[in-house]
Amino acid sequence: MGLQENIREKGVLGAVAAQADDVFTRLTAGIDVGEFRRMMQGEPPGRPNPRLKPHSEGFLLHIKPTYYHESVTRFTHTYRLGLLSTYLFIVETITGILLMIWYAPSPERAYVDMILLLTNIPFGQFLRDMHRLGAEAMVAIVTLHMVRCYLTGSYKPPRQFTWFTGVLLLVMTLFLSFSGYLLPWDQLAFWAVTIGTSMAEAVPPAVVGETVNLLARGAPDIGANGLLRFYLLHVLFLPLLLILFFFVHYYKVVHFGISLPADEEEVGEDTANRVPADKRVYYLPDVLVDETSFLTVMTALLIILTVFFFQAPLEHIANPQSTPLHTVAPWYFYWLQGLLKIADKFIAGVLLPGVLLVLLMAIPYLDYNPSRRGKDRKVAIVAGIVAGAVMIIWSWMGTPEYAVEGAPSVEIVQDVMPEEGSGLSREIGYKHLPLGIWRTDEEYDVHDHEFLELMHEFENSVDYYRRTDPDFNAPIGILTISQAQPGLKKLNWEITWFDAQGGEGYYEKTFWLHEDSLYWEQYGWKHLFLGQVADGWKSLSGALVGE
Amino acid sequence: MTVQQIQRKQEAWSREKDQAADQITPLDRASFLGSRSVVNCAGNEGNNRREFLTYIWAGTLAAMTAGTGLAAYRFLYPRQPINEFGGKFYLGAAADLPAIGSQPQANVYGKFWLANTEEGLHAFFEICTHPWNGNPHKYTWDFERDRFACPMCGSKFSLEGHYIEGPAPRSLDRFVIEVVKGRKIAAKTMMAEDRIVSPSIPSPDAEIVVDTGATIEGLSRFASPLLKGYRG
Repeated sequence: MGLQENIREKGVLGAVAAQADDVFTRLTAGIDVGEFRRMMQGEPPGRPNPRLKPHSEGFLLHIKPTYYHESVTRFTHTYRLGLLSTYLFIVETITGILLMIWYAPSPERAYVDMILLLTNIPFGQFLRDMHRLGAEAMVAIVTLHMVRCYLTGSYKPPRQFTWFTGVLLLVMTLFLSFSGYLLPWDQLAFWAVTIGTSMAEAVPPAVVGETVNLLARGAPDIGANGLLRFYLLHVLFLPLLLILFFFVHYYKVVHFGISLPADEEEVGEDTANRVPADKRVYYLPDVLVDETSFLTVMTALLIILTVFFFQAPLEHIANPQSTPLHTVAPWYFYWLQGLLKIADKFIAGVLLPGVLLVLLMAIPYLDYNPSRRGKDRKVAIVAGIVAGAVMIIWSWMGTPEYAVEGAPSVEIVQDVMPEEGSGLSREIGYKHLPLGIWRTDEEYDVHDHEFLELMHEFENSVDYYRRTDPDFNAPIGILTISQAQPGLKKLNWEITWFDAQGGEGYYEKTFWLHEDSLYWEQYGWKHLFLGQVADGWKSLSGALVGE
Repeated sequence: MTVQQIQRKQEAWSREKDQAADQITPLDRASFLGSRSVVNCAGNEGNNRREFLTYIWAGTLAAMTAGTGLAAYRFLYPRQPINEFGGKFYLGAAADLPAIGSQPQANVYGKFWLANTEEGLHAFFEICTHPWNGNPHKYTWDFERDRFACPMCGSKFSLEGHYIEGPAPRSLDRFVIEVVKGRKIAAKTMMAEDRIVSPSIPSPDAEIVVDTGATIEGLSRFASPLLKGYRG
């Protein structure tokens, strides 16, 4: 119908309304305004169901099933972990692209760019923290997703291949997270990646291992080439690979459907295409509203955690000449580091992880138990719990707690003022460090509660090693705080002791602390909340007036 | 699969779908987090609570998205460069400034002349205030006569930037100088009623910052204390 006829028939307003309705219908690929409102009001669909149209005609929904079995929409069945993993990947992509704007992958610039990002770019620190927290959360959520699928036996026929691609996605998530580690070009990054790539060197025969290592690093040592390669892996290659396998994985999920609770589905039964009519929950609008609200809450949670409770660490600039004390892998590779402490590099770094990975992928093909019910899967569930416990023990062995104890004097100073990170001294901050000479064997009448806490910690640490180490007798710790420059305090830690033969020992370590050093911890939890709200409000109002 | 088989399958499928549509009642909806509460006002033609809440949700989401867009704008906006023209120049402590009344110093990157005079510290923009048909041109320092002179239009200005003679319409333009003491701006170049006041320097360790992003235009030549005559 032409415009003129339309106006003649319905009047100008009516014609405009009809046109608007038409545009709305095109945008939603088949839902007109009336149908949309009926949807929102909770009316059941008409016959034939007009709400299936966006699935068949629109691109965005064509991958989504038109309805789910009612049992799988229960929150406690899936905990929406797969959806959350996907969403976190999207969050990582968006924050990652934004971070790329202020970052250049070269050793000359990378670290300076990080400092500028943290100090000079509005929302720079927020985005970095969110990217980092999102990455850690993604590893955790993907792992939990796997644990859930294992415990409900969801990998059993016909979903074996779904599990297999899921394990691939887990591996890619780990590598994606790890490859981002090098980019800030700080000590944490440099040494974590040096250890990581040197593990590849253990692949036999020697020439293969060396070649793999060379290809990863782009040179015998990590430098400009290595940084560029890890950058490209992180921002291009691995995300593309992950997207590809995500669609393989998700296609299988849609094809076979989410597994129903064990009581409602037999292994090998295809339930996705045989959902009884009274059990169907249509994607539009119920599941969509459910998923959107869930993700909104999760976004809010992620933002709150980022702003108030998390700061992505940034250590000193990468220094190939000095390995910081207590260098650790990312927490999700603690187990590997723990293994490396007790076994040969080849066995612990290549063979065992490889075998474990193959076993993990092969679980659906090895598990011939035809039941998914918990009471029939006692062996599998106990085995899963044992595997989890072993992982936790290995992870604990990966932390500095296990088998990397240094000399007592070194450990004492590392405890109160570590080489990297904050430690109690930096947490209490510049203004709580009074000038003077403070000894652990004397009592002080100081009214600064926070400083007394530090001295107490120092004394406890010295006392602990006096009791446990026979070569550490009558120790005295001395902290000398002096003003090195205006706004800069020098903290000199000295420890004297006698060894078992009566020989005198002496250890000294010096640090400087600037008045403006921004250690997030030093603000304390109480001040933090209100301060951050005020800062957040200030930057928001600043953004509004374009200041 | 034969065509007949496919047709039969399709018919069966559409029959099943019709039956499904028949059997759907509002009670079959599983709402958020698996609870089975149902809000449906059957026969209610107008807005109901459920629809209203949905719009509130959508509005909140839209506001969040707009906020994110604003944050992204702030994040993407170019930062003011440091020690580049258009940004701030950090010249160090006041003690290191040239002596009062000495020759002005040209800062090539900042495009300004730094002049320390009896009237205070000035940072003059290196371009002559005479427009010259829109072609900006630089004046120079005349060593012989101790004054700024424009080689193109012949305008003359004193060390303090005051207009002396020539076709220029006003005294020299200048950049705002900030005097930073203890990480706070103690003083900066200000516009008074009839004159431009240079910042006072509280102590020799105060830091001098020239903000080439903030310009103050020179006063009209008729306000210049050194006005000699107009030969334009």
